[in-house]
Amino acid sequence: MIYTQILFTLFVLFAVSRALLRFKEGKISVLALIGWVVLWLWVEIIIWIPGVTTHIAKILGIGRGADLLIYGSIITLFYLIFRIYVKLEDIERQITQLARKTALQNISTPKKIKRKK
Amino acid sequence: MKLLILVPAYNEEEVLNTVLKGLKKLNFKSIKKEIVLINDGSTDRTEQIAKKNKVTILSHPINRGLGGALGTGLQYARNMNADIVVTFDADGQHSHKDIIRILKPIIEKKADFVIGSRLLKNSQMPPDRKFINFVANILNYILWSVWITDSQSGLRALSKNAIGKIQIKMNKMEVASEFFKEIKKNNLKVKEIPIKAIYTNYSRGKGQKNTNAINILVKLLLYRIAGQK
Repeated sequence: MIYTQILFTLFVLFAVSRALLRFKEGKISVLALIGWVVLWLWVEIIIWIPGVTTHIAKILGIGRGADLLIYGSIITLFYLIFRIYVKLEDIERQITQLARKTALQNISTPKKIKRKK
Repeated sequence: MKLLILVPAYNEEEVLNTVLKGLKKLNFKSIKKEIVLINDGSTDRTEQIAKKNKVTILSHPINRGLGGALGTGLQYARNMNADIVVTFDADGQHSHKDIIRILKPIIEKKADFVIGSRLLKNSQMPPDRKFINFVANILNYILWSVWITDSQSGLRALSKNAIGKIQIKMNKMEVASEFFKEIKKNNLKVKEIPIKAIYTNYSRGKGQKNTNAINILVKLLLYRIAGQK
């Protein structure tokens, strides 16, 4: 058990270091960094004190700690998918704006065609 | 008065020549007409055919979908200070003669947005299309509280007021419903005029796939929930 716990901890440390690195590079905001660190901190707590989840689950009226984890994961995943969906739509729109700009800069009018001939 | 006829086209080489020839036949007394083909990244001879027909061409470098193409056309109309815009499908399902009828309420200042409905008079629309259309109409009513018998029609006329106010953001077929969101938002006057629809195997194949309706439904609901960005 202790080996798996150490292994998971190493992974968490690796993940946190990645987040810190990306923050240093200016690729993620302070808010995102705090979000990631808090998330991994929770994972760390759950790794070493698994009883915590059962305790929270009971407060929330969910039977077992494992159930709480699954519910939490599903909600998080849904939210992330929604975020990606919105982001994708945004990118699609930006591409359209780009295509529009090009189209409006290179208008081919009948007169121009005549001149070419 | 300046009229722009916007024809969004994506790989329409088979019918485009006939469509453009029909549009060129239209003549108005006091209106200056310009046919604008929006080539939405076609990979066939669409652009060459349009060039041969001597119409204005706006070319998207890549395919962006119907909404993207109409948005480009409307932006061009604003740049050109057009007084009236007509949108006309390139797949040959509309009759150019119907343009005169949908223009009338705009010229007489009785409406800001006229939609040519394929369902107001004994329609030849295939039953599966009729059903999808009906669902789209209901959704339209629930989302933007505008009741239209043929919300998905591609033949529309816009007044100068509408051209200035309507902002198209959606890229694909959802644009048909987005028009009504903009109508509602800007309090524009809508009118429906019965038109003829020519259903050939070609235009059916080019139009929306029935299954696409679900995709559109999800997008519109999210759009409504996410608010008006």
